[in-house]
Amino acid sequence: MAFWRRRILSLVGVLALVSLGSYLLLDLLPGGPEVAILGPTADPERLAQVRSDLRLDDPFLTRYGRWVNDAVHGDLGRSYDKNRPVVDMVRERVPVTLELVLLAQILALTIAIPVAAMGAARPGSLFDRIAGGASFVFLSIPGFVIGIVLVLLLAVKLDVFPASEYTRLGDDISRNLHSMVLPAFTLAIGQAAIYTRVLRADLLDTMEQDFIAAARGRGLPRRRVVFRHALRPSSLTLVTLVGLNFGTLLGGSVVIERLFSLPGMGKLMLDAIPARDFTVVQGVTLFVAVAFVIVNLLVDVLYSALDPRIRRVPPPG
Amino acid sequence: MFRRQAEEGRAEPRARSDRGVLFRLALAWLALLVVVAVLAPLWPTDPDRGHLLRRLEGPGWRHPFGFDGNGRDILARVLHGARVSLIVGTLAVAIGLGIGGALGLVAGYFRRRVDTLIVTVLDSMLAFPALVLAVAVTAIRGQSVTTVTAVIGVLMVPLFARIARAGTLAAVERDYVIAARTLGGRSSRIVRQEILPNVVGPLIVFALLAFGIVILIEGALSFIGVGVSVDTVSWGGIIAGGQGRLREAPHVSLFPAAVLSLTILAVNYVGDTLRGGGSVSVRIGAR
Repeated sequence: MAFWRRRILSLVGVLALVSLGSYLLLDLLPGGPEVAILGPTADPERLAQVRSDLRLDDPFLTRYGRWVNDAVHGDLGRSYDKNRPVVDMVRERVPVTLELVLLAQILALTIAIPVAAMGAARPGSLFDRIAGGASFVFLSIPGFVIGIVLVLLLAVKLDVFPASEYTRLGDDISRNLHSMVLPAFTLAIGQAAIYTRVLRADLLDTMEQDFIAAARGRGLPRRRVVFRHALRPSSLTLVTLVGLNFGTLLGGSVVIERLFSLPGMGKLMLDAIPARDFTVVQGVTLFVAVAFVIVNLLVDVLYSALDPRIRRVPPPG
Repeated sequence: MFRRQAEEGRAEPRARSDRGVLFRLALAWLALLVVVAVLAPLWPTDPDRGHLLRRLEGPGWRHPFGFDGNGRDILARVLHGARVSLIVGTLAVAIGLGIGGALGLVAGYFRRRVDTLIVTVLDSMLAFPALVLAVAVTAIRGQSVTTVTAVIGVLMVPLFARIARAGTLAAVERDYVIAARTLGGRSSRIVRQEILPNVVGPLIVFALLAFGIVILIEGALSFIGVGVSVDTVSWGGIIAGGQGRLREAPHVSLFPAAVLSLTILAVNYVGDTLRGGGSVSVRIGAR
């Protein structure tokens, strides 16, 4: 029980800080939140009007409490630029980002698991060394650079995939997937590099253990042992990492959505910036942060279900 | 992600003889970059002057990187862009190292409530998708080198704090520290003279890797148009400028992209080698 109490307490703490951070984004804006809502060119009378409408002269904690209460009830304010509830705008964009992130994770794992297993089956082999070098390089190259190179090769030169042409999932699944290949692959490569390195290291650790020696002693070939016996017990770190990386990918998708003109949450946020439509920026920030916190909690739950020992030992840190 | 990197920061440095040609090449590239950034104003070509007749002109003998969509010399722009990357990189790492290092020392030395408080706050910071936060803050606070540096610097704080804290927790168990405490030495003196020397090494090595992360985030922010202001030449900005013209003029994006990638690669390679190699060097949501 102590594990869960600790976990939930830290969840509450993190959510409080995250929402405070998102609230302060607008509250600390030069000119105050009313400028964020009406835009910098609004006339002073309307500014004063909004100021009293929103009771912005109340003490900070009152305002913050009210804002959190609204957010919990699904009200993230209105976009002054589009004159629509921010929540509706976010809701429209969620599926695109979610699809991008999920596809990227699937692609990354599809690449990483076989590559890591083949490397661990023959450590130090030519394949292992090439995979190691490649993963180091792909870890270092920024995602948008990888994306530009892919666009140049596959969209501009070979014209296999579109560089910026989005079809909604509901309209046509195959065209949608076609338009998502490049963005998802761009987002996946760096993750695949990380996953490969982590899984390979864990596999090599597992291969030192007795039950593997027993399997090898029965005369099973090393590669078969890696895939059939070592893979599952070596996958714990990978599972955690995949979960934690949803946040990384949500951030990364801002860049990728911009690069490929995908109408996801990141693009919503970036498009709102030139219009100084900051309620939208704030809404997306809060939404993404809360989603990330919840995913992290789910990962912890999953992780402790996979390995019950975790629950007994308080996590270090 | 962060956690992993932070904990790996403690490994012992590798023996000098193991460092090969690649290590020296990487160091040479970084040294060249520093020289270039310092001397960029002396470069004869003006990075802001557009030659209307040479728009999108490809690489040539006198202008090895060619011209961008406004007819500006790309090599000159890349040279000037190095200044932004290095300034933001150095200062943001300094912020992370200074604040994060101090927090980690305090948390590890005093432990108990202080530790719990600091660790909770730092974990909350890690719980925030870094790039989203950076975009939101630069968008709202205005785009400038100062804002970008400050935001990325704050993002670096929890990483440095973790490493400093881990080193401190190990050091306070050492006999000479226990002795100093038992003799009633002042905390500030013990931390400065007995513990700090144990923590500085891993922090410095990590600073190098953090430098790579910072340059990457700065590049990504400038690429999506929320980094340093549009008037300041930055690598991410130059790359973004060529993105729409990949068909006619791929060189506009590719040269600065290659320079940016090589720089991060070099930083990571040097950092990884110093740290003992074989570890995963990770970055925060900047993909």
